[in-house]
Amino acid sequence: MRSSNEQARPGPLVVCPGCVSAAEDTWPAVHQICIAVPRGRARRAGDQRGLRGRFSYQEHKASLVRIQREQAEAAAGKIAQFVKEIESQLGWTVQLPWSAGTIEQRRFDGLRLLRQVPAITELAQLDAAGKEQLRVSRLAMDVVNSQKDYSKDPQFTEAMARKVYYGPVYFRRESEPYMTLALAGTRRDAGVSVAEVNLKLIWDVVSQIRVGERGSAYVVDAQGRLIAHPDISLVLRNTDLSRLSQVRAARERETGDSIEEADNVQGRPVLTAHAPVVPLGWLVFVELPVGEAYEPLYASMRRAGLPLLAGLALAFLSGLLLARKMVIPIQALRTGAARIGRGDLSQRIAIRTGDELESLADQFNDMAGRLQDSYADLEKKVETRTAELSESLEQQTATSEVLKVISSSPEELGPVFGAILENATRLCHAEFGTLNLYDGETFRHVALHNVPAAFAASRADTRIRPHPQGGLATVVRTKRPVQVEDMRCSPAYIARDPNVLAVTDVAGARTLLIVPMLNDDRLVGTIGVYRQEVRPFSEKQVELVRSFAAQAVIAIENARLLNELRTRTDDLARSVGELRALGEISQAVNSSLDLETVLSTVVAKAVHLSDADAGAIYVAAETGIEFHMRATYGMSAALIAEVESEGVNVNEPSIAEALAARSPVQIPDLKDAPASAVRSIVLDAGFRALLVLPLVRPSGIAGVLVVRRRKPGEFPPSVVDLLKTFASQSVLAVQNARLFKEIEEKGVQLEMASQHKSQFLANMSHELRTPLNAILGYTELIVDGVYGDVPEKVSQTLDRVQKNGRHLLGLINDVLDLSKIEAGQLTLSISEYSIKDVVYNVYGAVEALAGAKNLALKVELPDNLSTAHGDERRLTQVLLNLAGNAIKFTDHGEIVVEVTEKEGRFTVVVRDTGPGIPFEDQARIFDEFQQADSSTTKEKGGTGLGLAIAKRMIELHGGRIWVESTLGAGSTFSFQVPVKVQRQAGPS
Amino acid sequence: MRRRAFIGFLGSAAVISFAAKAQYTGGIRRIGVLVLGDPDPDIFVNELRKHLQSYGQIDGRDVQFEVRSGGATPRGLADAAEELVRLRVDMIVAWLTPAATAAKKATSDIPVVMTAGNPVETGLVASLSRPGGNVTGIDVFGALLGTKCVELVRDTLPSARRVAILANAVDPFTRSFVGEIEKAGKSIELVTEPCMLHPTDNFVAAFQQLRNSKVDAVIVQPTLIRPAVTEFAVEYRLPSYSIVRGFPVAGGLMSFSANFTQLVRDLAGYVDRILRGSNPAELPVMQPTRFELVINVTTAKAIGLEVPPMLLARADEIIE
Repeated sequence: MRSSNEQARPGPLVVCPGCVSAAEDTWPAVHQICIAVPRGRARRAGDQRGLRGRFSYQEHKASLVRIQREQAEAAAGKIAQFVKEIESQLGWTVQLPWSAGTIEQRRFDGLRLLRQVPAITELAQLDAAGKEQLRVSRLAMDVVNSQKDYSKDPQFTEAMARKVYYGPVYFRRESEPYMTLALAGTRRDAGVSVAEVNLKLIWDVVSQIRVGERGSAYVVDAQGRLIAHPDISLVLRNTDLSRLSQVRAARERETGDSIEEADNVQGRPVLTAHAPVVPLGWLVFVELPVGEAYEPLYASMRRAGLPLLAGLALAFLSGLLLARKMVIPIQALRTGAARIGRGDLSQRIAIRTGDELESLADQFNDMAGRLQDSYADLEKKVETRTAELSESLEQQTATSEVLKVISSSPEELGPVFGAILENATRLCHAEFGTLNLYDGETFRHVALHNVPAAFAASRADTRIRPHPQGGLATVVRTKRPVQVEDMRCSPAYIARDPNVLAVTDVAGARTLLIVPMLNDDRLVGTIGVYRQEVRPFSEKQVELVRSFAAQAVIAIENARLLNELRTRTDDLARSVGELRALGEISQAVNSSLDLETVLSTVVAKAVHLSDADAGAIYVAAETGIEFHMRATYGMSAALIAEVESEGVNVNEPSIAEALAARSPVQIPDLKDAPASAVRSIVLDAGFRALLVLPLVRPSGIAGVLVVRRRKPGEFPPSVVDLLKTFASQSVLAVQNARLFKEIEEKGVQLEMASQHKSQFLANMSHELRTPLNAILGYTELIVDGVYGDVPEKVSQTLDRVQKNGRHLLGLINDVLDLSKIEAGQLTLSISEYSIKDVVYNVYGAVEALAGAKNLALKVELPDNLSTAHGDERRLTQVLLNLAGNAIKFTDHGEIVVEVTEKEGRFTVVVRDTGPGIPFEDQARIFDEFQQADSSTTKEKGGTGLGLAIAKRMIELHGGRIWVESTLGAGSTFSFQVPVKVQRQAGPS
Repeated sequence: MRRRAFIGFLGSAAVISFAAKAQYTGGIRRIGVLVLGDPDPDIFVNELRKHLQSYGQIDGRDVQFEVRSGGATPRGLADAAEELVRLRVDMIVAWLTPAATAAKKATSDIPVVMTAGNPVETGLVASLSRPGGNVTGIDVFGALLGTKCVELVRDTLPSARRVAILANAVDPFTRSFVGEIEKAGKSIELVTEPCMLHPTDNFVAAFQQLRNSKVDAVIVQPTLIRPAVTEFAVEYRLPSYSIVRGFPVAGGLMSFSANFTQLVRDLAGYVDRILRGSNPAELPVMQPTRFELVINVTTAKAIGLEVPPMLLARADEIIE
């Protein structure tokens, strides 16, 4: 505990046992109380003597040591004084010189000195020479005039030298400490007095020095031997204190700091101070037992301690008391809080301590009360909410039920209305309900639920005209729900409107709710909900019925839409059917060129689609008068035969009409129709209704389509339209069939013609060639001189003859070739060949010709051309033809023959710098007997077959030939053939 | 819970420690006092009592005396000593050598505080500074005092030639006593004549003999001091000297002795210390520092002696 400077932390001992006995969990709070109390006590306990703590301990010690040192110095002073006293007393004996005074006198003086100075046990007087003249002894006998020589002894010599001599301490009989004290007189002849001083008498001095209660002062000589001590027995025992630390320290140092705390001779710790007894070299030690030294400290601690203890005890008690005072309420609070936490809100905590705890308890109670209230409140709220929710749920369920009914039977409104009414009345807690439809003026009951039988009966199939003051009228007017709280009080009832009367009196309705059914703001009907007691409907119920009304509207709308849909669908289905039929017919028409088949199909489909029983198609003869039945359906063979035999012509009334109108004609009932033979037959056959459609061609009437039905009546317009389409289809079919036939015939004719031509050519060329060969042969012979010499002129002429002949032969060959090719009789002989050889052969053949016209002839060949497969002869022929043509038609420039190989194909190009070929002729020139310009043909010659043949040849190889040319810029003829042709391509 | 126990323990420990400082009062101590018989031990005992009181040992409360006298016989002393031992006294205070010797012989446990003339030589203690054993006390310088008596004789009667020594035959001290006196006498050419007497002897005969031998003075051993002796000395006009104060008080002429008060006080001090627990073996034998010269002038007048004034001046006490 601090004295004046109170701090927050109490001292280490302040642990209040009282606090501990309180509840452990209230320890901190109570601890505070108990700490506070002792602090108060300490203040009251006069704590100016209080501890200063460690700091004051040091101070205390220092002050004690200081005091002791002073005491030691005082004691040293006293001891020195004591010795000085003896000295001065001794001094009397050396006042007088030896000569003066008798020995007896001296003896007497000596004895007196002994008496006065109890410390001196023996006194010896030495003369100036150091000889003992007198010895006076307390115990021993006095000796007079012994003349013992002490002149060499230190007591004499030192005394003479320094006037006073302090001898070392010695112990007589090992017991008593003695010192020799010698004093020389001021006069030289006074001699020296030597006294043996019993230092035991210093004990008087020392024992008078009060050092506290149990402290003591003692004296040690220069060697550290104890020469005076309050306990004289220690001295008499020759105690050597030189080992004591303080003695050692003091002996080592002159003055100044020395050990303050050490052990004394008995081994107890003491506070020690010392001072030297200066002339003698002794040390006076003043020692205070540490216990006693700090006794005041401890005493004050004790003094403080007792109040502290008292305070602690009091604090303990008060803590106990307070704790109890606090703990019990706190425990009560705790249990109370636990109770509340558990949910038991009925009990209240009872604390009456009149302090914060009580207010806390009140707070708790308050809280519990409020919790209770809020729980109750909550419960109520939950109840209400639950009720509301269940009501809503009911309504939702009802709604969904109704929707389910709607969706399950979408076109049947009866169940829907029934469901609506049933749910509405149930959920509104009403008795019965009605559903009306409004047609703009009146209402009609379409559904009743739970309505009393009498009322129901009266309501069936009646139209209700709303009374202007009645609910229905209001609804019509406002298009909003209307409630009549009591029917009996309503003006309509008072006016005795029969409808209202019926509802109120017969059905017993009192409170009524009418909700309009609105479709896009148009009133379509109402729902009425009736209570047989006077109780208004709640907002929620009104809303509910409104929702039902909306659903009813939806249902009605749905049903309507559904019906519409159905109708549409039916229409569509029919249309689809028709289209399909049309499609079939088209297909039939397109798939079969057989006229008969087509017409039969048409008739059959027409009959099907028109839902008729039979039909026929008559095709007009070329004359346009007679009509022949080409296709029938559903007609018995007999009937067919009959009609055929009768014959139908354009005068037939129905047909005439149709043909005249160029549009379908209907006879709903043949019985009513104008008579005719055919009519009778048909009628007899059982057909009553007739539909005639003309088959109209741009150029005239092709025929008629007739459809017969046993059932009389009109054909629906859609059917008629459909059949019209059939009719036109049929026309087309007939056209096509005819055309096709024609073509077929023509084709056959053409074939024959071509064959004739080829035959002719082959024959002719053969016939032509044979004589020609003869001519050429003989001419050759002649030229060769087989038949003798031939004159020049003849030879020249014969040359000309030969040339022409060869030309002719070539022509004929070409023609033959061509015909063969056309006849498909030309075969390639395929073998390995080298395109290089082909080119060089051709080159060799035409080189001269080119040279003759001063045309350059170039050949461009890559080195690595593959070995090819094909008809070498023919290809050579082709190339020869091209090159020949090039030379023929080019007048100046050059001819280039180029071969390239790419992707398994040879491309052979012959380029010339001739006049070129106009674009429009470029295709033609590959035709037979064509040359670009007939005028040049005459000039240049040529059969005009070369390119045609070349084309054929190349094509047989599976290649192609073409030309690129610009007028005036030369021509480039190219052909491509596969490198390896294994077999010839078929005829193109 | 443990906290409570701990706090409780601390609390009670504190309380107990505060209340702990009980003093040992002990019971009443018994001090056996052993004296020879002559002279009257009461003087000594009273003095002892008085001084013990000053040390806080009050007769009747703290201490109780069991005084036994030896009846002037060694036999009696031994019995008395044994009796004291039997009584199991806490301590024995023995006055003068015979008692001390008897006490020492009787016990080696019970502390013995004694006064003796020459304790070392008589074997009572091992040495003055460290007695050892159970005996300690005060060395009264008996023997040396004897020499002082010789000196006194010479001072009193410068013309004295013969000195008788009344010595106790059975006193262990006798030998040193007589020895020292003889030595002293020799040094100043004084003839000493020891006269051994048994305490039970008839003194008259001894004195008669002394008169016949024409002694000038007589030195009496303390243990022989009795009225007969002093009467005899007066009758025969012999200056008598002794080394105890009781002698001139009893009628002798003079004595040179250690200061009685101081002596008894020191003795009491030792008694007190030993009662308080000191070990007698460690208490060194004290030696008196004060000596007193006691002169009985009535006796001097009675024997027709004129005491030299210087001697009178020297005297510490004059008895009239």
